Amino acid sequence: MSLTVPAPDPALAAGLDEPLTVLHPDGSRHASALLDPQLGDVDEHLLTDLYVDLSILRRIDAEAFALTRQGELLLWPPSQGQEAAQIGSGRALRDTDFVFGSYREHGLAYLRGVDQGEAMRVWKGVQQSGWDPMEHHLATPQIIIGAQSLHATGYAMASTLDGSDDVAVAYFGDGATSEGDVNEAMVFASAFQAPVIFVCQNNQYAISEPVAVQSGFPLALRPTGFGIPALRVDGNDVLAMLAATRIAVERARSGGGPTFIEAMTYRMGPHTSTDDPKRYRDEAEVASWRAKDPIVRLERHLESVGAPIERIREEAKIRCDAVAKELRAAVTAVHVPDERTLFEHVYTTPTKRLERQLAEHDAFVASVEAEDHA
Amino acid sequence: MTTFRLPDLGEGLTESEIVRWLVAEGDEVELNQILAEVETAKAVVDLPSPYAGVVTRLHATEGETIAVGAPLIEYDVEGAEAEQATAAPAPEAAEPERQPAPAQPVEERKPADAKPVEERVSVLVGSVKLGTGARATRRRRTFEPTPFVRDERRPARAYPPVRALARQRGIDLAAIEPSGEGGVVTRADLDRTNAAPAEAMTSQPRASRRERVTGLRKHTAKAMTDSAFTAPHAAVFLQVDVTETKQLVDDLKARARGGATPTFLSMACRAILLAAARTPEVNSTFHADANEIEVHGAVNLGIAVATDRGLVVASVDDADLLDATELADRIRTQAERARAGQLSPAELTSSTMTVSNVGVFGVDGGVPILNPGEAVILALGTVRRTPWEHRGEIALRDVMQITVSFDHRVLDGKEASAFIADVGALLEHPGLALARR
Amino acid sequence: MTAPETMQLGKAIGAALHDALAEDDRVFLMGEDIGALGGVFRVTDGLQATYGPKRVIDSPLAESAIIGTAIGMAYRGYRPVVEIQFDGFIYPGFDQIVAQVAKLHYRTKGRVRVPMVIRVPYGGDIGSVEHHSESPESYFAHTAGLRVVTAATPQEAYSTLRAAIASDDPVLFFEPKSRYWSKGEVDRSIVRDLDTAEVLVRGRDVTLATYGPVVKTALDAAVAASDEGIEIEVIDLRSISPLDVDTVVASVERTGRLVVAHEAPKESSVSSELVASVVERAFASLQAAPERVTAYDTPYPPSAFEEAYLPSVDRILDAVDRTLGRRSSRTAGDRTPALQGGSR
Repeated sequence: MSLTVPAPDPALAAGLDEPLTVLHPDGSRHASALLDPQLGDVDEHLLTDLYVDLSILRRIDAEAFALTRQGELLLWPPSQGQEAAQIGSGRALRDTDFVFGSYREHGLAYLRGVDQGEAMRVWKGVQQSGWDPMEHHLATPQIIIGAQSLHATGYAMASTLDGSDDVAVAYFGDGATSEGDVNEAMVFASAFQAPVIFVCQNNQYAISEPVAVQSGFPLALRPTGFGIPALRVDGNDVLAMLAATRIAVERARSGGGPTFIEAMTYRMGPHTSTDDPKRYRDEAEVASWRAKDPIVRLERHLESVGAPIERIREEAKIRCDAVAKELRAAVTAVHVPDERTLFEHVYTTPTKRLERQLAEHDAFVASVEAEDHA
Repeated sequence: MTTFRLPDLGEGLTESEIVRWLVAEGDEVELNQILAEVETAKAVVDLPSPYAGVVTRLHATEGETIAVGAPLIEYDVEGAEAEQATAAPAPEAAEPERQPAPAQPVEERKPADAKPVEERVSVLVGSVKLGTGARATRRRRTFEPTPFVRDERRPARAYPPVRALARQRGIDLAAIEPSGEGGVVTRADLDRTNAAPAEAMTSQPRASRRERVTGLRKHTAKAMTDSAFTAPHAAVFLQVDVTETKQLVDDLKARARGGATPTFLSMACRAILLAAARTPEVNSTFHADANEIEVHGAVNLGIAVATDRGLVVASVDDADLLDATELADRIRTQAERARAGQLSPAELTSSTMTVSNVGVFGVDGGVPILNPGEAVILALGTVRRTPWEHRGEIALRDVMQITVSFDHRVLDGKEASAFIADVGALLEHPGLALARR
Repeated sequence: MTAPETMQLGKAIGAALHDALAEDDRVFLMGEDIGALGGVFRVTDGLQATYGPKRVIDSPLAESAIIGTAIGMAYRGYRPVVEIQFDGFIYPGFDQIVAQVAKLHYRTKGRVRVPMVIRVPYGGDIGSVEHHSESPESYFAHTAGLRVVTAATPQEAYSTLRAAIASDDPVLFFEPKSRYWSKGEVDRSIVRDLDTAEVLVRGRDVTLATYGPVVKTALDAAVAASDEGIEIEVIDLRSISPLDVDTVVASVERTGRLVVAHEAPKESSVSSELVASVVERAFASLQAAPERVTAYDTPYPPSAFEEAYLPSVDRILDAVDRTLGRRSSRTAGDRTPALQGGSR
């Protein structure tokens, strides 16, 4: 029996053989016909900026991780290794573009100027979200895998209805590409030609499951089946990420519809602060990715273009120290709000039912002696 | 003549408009020939004929809206039974959500001959259609419904255990001034209220009363307890001429012409129950721990029954509310159930005084052992034809011996004697029951 | 002020959508087959022609995406009114409804509002196939952050849907599809709330609380009961979540008896919640144990069995009889007198 199954159209995907890249791990810059046109503004100043951003994100991650080990935070999903994927893509956006992330996009919160103390309230367990999404054009962390991809698509559809050229961006991981929501999002994005960008950070693992469990072929082929072009990019190359996202943003703003970016990267740390990656991957694999570290790579490149690397490093360290100090102070200053606030904002106006339950709670609290929380 | 009624053409539609007839009266039509174009709230659809035959009547004109279930068209169908009042199956649906109508449409859509008139009930906002059919009625039930009688009084507020207690005591909750928070009738309110008279026919257990054991009785009781197992019982005997009672039983049987009648045993039990009403202490329990005598409100009469598994006492609860015929029936059922091992633990322990019909074994009497927790037990001996003084002569009479064992902590010989004398007098002259209270 | 018009319940919903679209250009509709077809029940008939395909959007067949993209549109200030074609089709959208729609306002401490209405034709008695006749309201009533409402008459359908669209809370609006074709007067100037139950008929003997398609059955039962001298107080709950327990408690304090009826199965249902709440608050007023008349705890059966499966006038009155201590289906066959144990 002969049966030919039409494959997803590879012509819609770029970087399938080798992820698109311009910065090699040794710091050397390579030509890319696709990406280079987007990088005309790259100079020592921009490179330095990017370097500082990457460094600060790494420092935020390290400091927060330490705070979980010191009992100050409940949980932390580390972003170490994914700095270029987040900063590179995030810096291609303008402030009015709306970002819908999962829970590991600490780089986007940083880029959008979110107060780190506010951001940490989720991980401290005192609020379900930390910042005002409308102020920062950044949705708060989404725990349900892939759910936000639909919100981004809907936002993009609304932007079109408004006649605006704002775009929406959904960040998700390799595991999320198996979820119905991500696939439905691509159906809607394609059907309505919505100005939405899907940034899939393929960090190789969904907790313990390697990406091969999700798919036997490159994830970047999936969107092509929906008629959505895909760019498979070296996610540890901040310039490649910047360029690829700029391509996607330009398409979206000009009515070209959705784009899917698969950022090939690696989660250097555990899934969260409670995970033990030694159970499912070996050190050699981690070491091979350490050799492709996005920050080291950029540092080497700066060196290679003759930038004053010692001064830049020193400047970055001062900035990182300040952010870390601020973060730690903010986290330790967070206190648990009055427990009566747990009844707030369930509805836009309180219902009688909840008012009754609050009164019952108050009566109970008044009936027992306070516990010593010290 | 065969009638085709308008079917539900899709998911609960109630009516359709005849847009165009494609057949006329007198036309011969084939099966599935399109009869009409019909517009529903959802679509204009073709209506195929469910029969082959000659159209004799069109029930609607073009532009007319008719109700689902109303007659649409009549045919002469060869070989058909007259008036097949069935709605045809709906035509093939064009989309999955337009599947054929159910075989049995709900009542509201059952075929009706006239175009149904909508009836509405006005509600505070707008109105609700009551349906296209007639006014709603109940289906006939397979049993006789209890008549509904509204209690017009203010409903009482009370918690379920207090409601149950009030029922037990025959207290009308609505008549009680509540003292509880929020106008709730409390247990204390019940305790302050006397029970209603027993004439309120009820199958609920009635209240018991407890009396503090004091003075002489306390001493007697203690003495009895101290002497413990040797002599808690005392007994009294009486020989009774029961000829009149036997005669009465026979007379009643003759009159009943096969209907249910009292038995001698049930008549004897009636006598015992009437006597117990005059000496309530016989229907009581001695609580040694509390030093109290509990005089029971209801008489649950235990019937000693010999079974394969040994002697058991089957209770006829509320025996004092039953007449002799009812008692006969209950005694027989309880005995049968006892022998079949069908009695519940409650029925084996709920008796408050007991009768042992030892006469069935042909003996004249004996001193029965008290059923635990009871104050008296009666043994009824066999009824023998005995030479007996009757109206100054010696005559052969039906004579029976009654024995009453009693708990001396509760009863004195005087009370026990009064009780047995009452039982005897009633069996000797059953007419006394008419005369006495 | 417009004069009241007589219209079918489904058309009254269409009228509410029409008026909401006309009054607020942030309102839009999205769903399957709602455009050219006008919805499988024709509820949205003509709306796309009037308001165009950008405001009356035929969507791809993906319920999660219908809800999820509507959330995204709400982020941008729109007021989505989405249609789930049939009750049994809502489950693919369940996560977006209970994990996102319901929680976004709470999660963001009120910074993101989701003024979404999810319209769901529900209930049976329409002679359809599997998944077309279900009553899934309890799944949503159990979720904090959602309002769940329904309507029994054309007027209620119009006014409640307008209130739902105007609400800044997400609302599941369950439409009694077996009543779509029932007619009634609609006054478009009447505004309703989303919180209160309505006493439709006053009665002294038993409180009968229900909602949606069973309201009509309950009113029929009240009429039939009057033949036996029994007065049933009929309450249309209207709001399934939050439940207006106050109105039902006030009624039970007068009647002392409660029957709750709905088409949904019994276990963990609206009647479970209502009976529990009434027992909590009106324990002393109850003269008899509350009764429930619901669908059986089976999957929705083939339509041939609908009549037996759904609450009917007779099943409701059988339950009414039990609360009144009258003979009923459960005592008629039992000849044993209700004897209690001894009083020892």
